[in-house]
Amino acid sequence: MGEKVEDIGEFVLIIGDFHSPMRNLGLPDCFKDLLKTDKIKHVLCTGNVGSSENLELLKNIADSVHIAQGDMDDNFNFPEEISLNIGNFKIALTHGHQIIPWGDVNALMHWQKKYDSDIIIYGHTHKNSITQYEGKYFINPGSATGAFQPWVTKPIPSFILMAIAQNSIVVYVYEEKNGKTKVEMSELHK
Amino acid sequence: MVCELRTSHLSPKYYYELYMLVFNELQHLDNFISDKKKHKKKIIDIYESVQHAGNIIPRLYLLIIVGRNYIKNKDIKAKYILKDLTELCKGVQHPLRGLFLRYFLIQMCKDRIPDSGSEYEEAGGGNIDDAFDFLLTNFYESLKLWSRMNEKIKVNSTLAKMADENIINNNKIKILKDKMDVKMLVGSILVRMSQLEGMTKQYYIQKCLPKILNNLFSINDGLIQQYIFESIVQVFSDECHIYSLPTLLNAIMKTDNSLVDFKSILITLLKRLRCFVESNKLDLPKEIDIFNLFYDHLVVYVNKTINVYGQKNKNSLNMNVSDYMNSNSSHNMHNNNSNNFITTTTTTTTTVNNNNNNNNNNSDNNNVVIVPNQDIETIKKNQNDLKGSSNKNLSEHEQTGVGPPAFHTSGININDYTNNSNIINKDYQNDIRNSKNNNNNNINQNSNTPRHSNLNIDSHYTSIKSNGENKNKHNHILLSNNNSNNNNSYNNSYNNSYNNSYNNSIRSNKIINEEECTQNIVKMLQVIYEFIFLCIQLYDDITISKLFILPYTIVSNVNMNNDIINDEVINIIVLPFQYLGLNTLKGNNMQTLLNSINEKHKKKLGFCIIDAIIECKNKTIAYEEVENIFNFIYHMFHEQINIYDVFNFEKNTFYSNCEKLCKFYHIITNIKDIDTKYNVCMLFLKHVKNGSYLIQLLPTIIFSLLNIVNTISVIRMYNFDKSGRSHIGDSNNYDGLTNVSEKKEDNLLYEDVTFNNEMNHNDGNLDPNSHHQNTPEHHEYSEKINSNDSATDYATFENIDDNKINHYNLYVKNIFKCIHSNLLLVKSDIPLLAFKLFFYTAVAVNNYNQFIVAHPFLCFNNLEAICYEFITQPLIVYEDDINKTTQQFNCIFWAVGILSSYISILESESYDNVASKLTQNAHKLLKKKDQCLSLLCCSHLYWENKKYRNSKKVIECLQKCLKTVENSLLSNQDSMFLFLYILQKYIYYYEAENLEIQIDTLNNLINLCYDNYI
Repeated sequence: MGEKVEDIGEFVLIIGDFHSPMRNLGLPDCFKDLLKTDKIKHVLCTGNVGSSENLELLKNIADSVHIAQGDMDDNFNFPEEISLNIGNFKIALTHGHQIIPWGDVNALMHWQKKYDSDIIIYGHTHKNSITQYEGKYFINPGSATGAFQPWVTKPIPSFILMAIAQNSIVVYVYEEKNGKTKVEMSELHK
Repeated sequence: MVCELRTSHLSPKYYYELYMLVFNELQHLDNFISDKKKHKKKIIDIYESVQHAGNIIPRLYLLIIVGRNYIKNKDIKAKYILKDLTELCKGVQHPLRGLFLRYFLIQMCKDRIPDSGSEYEEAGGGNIDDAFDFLLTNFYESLKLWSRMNEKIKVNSTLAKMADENIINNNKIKILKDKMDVKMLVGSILVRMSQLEGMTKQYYIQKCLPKILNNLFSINDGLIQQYIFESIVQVFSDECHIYSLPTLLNAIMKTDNSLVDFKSILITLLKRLRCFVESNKLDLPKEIDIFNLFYDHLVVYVNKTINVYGQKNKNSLNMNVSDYMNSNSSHNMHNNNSNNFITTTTTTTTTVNNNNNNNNNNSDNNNVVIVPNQDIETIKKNQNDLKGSSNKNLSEHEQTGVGPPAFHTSGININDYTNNSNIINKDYQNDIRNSKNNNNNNINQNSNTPRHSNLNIDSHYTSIKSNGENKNKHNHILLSNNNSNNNNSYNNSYNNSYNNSYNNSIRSNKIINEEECTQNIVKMLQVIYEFIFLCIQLYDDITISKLFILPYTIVSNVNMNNDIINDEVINIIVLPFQYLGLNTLKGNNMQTLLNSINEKHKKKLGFCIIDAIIECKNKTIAYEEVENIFNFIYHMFHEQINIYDVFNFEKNTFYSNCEKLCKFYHIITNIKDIDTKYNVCMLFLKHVKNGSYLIQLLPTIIFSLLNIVNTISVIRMYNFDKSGRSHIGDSNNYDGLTNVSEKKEDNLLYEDVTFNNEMNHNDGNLDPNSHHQNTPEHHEYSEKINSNDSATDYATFENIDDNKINHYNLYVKNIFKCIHSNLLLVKSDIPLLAFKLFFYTAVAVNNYNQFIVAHPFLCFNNLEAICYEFITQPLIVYEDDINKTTQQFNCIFWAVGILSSYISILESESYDNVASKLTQNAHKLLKKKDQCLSLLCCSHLYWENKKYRNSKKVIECLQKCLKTVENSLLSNQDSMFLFLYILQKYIYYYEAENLEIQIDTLNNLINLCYDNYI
């Protein structure tokens, strides 16, 4: 993140599916260090925060925190679906367990029609992905803690950082491997 | 105004205020004198003339001012003036006035000292020696003055013999307070000393410290010594301390004034060293062996304190000992006179002395020998006499250099003693032999034979020692058991007799004594805590593990019913856990130390340890250690908590405890090895099972068990490849092969396919059709991902033979059984979670099929039935325990999601059963809207998985849905929007090429929506 903030736009953190402490110990240490920043303007969470400890962590990152209700968030009460605008982009956010088949882009496409968003953020599958489909971007940050999901053989802890500028978005995918963070960058255009 | 300083009526506090006023005024005078133009006189003249002032106090104050300027002029050597001033100040011998005068002198001349590198040194005004001399002389004089502040007390008390005792006491307290008020005046001299440029490491060690200490010892005043020691520790640099540790420690220990509080000094010193070590780990000089330096002194110090403790509880201990001896009666009491009684006491309280006869100074051979605290001569005799015999015996046990177990009852002559130590050793040998035979230590046997039981405590201490030395693990375990048993019995008898005598003795007196002793013990434990903390920063595990003998010696000698002592011991125990994790348990005496904690505090201990382990960075886990730690923390699981009780105000604590336990669980199960992981999980479950934490912890345990199943399922890949192809190259080579092999298992790999979908997108392969499944490339892709992901795992699985596979299969069977039975237990407590967990397990069962298929020799024939069971159970949970409509609605969606994508081994018939059951439940939902949406959702049950695809059933669902909405429209027009959802689904299936969708229905729907919305 060497560039200046004004060049690159607003930083939006996309993170979710913590499931800690039920399924794991919590965020990897390298992620914790990364998230100790005040540069992030918005936090979009795909749900399953797991514990109030994680909730506090998210709320401390930015003022604008949006959390969708996950399938294991029985102790919390978040909205099922969230739609918001950041910069010139319309974003729809949901955990995704309500949309069947789970993680299916086509089904998500149908679901988002009521919002007509540019970016659709979903979770639940614990596998990060960025998909372009019919002119829209489908972003899945994966599980921030690498939480266990019975159908995923080896979940990798991951989250996504977006820098939303005027007409383009730079996406950074952070993955944890052997205690170190791996970043992959890609650019999306409107 | 300066004359006012002559008063002797002011308390230090007010005198200080006065002093400050005068000081400010004198600054003006100072300015005037320093400005030659104003007075146009020679400084030497002023210096002379000032000395003619009438009163001594004003005269000296003025003289100091002038002297200060005189030095500045450099007309005369600084050291002469300074010496002159120091001498002249002797004229004031009133403690308070004198102290302030000295303080003034130092303040005024602190920048006029011929320090090395200063302008006055260049001017030939002297060197560092003179500078230091000046400060030291003043320091000494100040000390003398300061110590004389006590005299007032004595004078007062003799004068006021008739007066009320209270007044004397009050006076005493007041004077002591006054005395402490002026400490800063003396301390400032030390501060200035430490700031000297010439105060190098060498200078400090060779000249400064010895001289200060010399002066200090000539003042026989505990309070002052205490303060000065603390000041020394605080004021001088870390480096100085590290190199002068031996001197300093010796000095601290040498002061036998009971008023000197070693503990505070040591705590300050240890804290300082620790901070230093923390900030520059590498700078620590290797040649300084901090461990041994402190250790030697601490041993002495522990003795001192325990002795005092023992003395204070003399009566009770004597009773204990006499009871003990009477009952065992091999040594007669008649020889004991009252003096011996005391010796007995101290002996019983275990004196641990550093064995000076052994010249092993390296940290590996810290021999602690326990000798009775009789006269030193006897000790030496003992040791000399015993060396021959005991060493012979001991060498058989590889106990190099361990002295004889000299702990003993009094009144035994040396011959007796030698005999006994032989017996002990024989006894000890027996122990080992026995344990080799049946792994049972013969404690019971011990207590049966009177002679043996008499030596119970003796062998107990032998064990401690040999513990410290013995590297044989087998022996070690045995001995620690031995230890704890003895320890317990000892403590019990001790406590009993203590209580008895306590009741008999004069209470008020006792209480004061006891409190004092407890304070001492607590302080000592704090010192040890700091010491261990320091050592943790410095040394490896082995060295640290030796440390626990110190707290253990204390613990085995004090009454552990005391809360504060328990807390301190817990602190000590927990500390290493924070840095070493579970490795701590390897430490000698650690386990006995853990055992010594009072039952009442066991729960707290458990949580403290768990907290520490969570904090700890070192997370290596061994099964034995986990097993071990449970022995110490299991208490917490048995706590009965009713969280449904409205009046239980500790609910939050309960939940945070649950979270801690979860984290702890994740730490101990973070193991690569499948066998160990399985064992740890099961062990944990066993411990939690009957406690109130089961409900909260079960989901976590189940997830980790499923994780094990998943890991085992993945082994298939490697073995499958191995059988398919003899050569294993780099991971990329998998592609071609798997493409072929995968097709055989088309259905089985369904889940991989869905997941490959995303990976495909991820790679930037942004093909809009990629969600259409089951194209060959996808297989290839998914397999590639999998092989890459787990390429590292393959390495660990490389040596898996069929035996192992069979073994794993057993694990999995057990896991499924265990999950099933436990979930049934708690399902009504956590219906929502149980509902999902059943399904998750079903998915794991489903995926496990891959493993079975890959290993045809495995026997697991009812897998499908098990999967079916894990799917029907949640439906029962749904009907029985999930009552809220929103929850029901969510559950149906969730179940459809998991069934439609991740279940593939069910027979079509069973699957249809489940699907129709779910559809019925959807139909039964209370609200029309929920009914409609969940029915739409259920349609996926018959579509997503090709194995179970049934286009007609899909249409049935949609038609049912249409009917529901039409019906509801009769009563309520609001549900019109539901048509939109239905239309959306119709389009979805139309696009997905469901041939049953008729264009007519679609057009009708479109028209309907069009009419209603536009």
